[in-house]
Amino acid sequence: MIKVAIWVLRAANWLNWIMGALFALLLAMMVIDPDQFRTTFERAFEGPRSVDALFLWLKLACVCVFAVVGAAHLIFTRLIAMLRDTQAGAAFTETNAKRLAIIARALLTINLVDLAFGQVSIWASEASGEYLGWSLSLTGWFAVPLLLILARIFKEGAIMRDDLEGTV
Amino acid sequence: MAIRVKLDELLHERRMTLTDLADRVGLTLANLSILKTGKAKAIRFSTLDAICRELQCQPGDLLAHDEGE
Repeated sequence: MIKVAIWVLRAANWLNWIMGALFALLLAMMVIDPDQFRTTFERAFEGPRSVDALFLWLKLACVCVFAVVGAAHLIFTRLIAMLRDTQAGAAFTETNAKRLAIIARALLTINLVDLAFGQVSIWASEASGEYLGWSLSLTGWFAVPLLLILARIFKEGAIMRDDLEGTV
Repeated sequence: MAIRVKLDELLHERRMTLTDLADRVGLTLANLSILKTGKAKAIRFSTLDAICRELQCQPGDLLAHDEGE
């Protein structure tokens, strides 16, 4: 079961980087040849009020994706490391408590980026007249304190385990 | 740590080896060795009871508090 989970997380991290690379390519293309994109946008959206707003929105979306890819990489790699430790029978360690805290901070970063992206989307929707689709999700915000509490519990568990190991 | 385990002295007085004691109290040699060398962080009452029973001593004979350390 743990082996499968490790493989799934590895695959997810690969997909994460592939997605990041695709967005990097998209951003590069928008910077190198902006006119072609403008033309495509004008054709794709029937008479938007501001193609510039859509263009800027897509560029900012790419930048947001980079931040999310970095944070997701931190989450996936830490989860894999924690699963490996669990496989070896050493789940309750201080290292894993730190890893959980890192995951919580990475998730907080993703939530903040999502919030910023939402603001940009609302602005771009108003400016272009196209609904760009964004809604506030509270799930991620609940997960951050939950993970921080879990990290604290892990730390206490690690201390207890350490004490137990030295008990005769 | 200021707590000193005097297991070595007790074993010497009773002409008993650590292996013999481990067999009698049902602990592993490794765990008793941890206790003997003062590397243990805690001792269970059940362990203390078994050692005192086999060595016919009091807990105070096994443990001492060194002020200086």
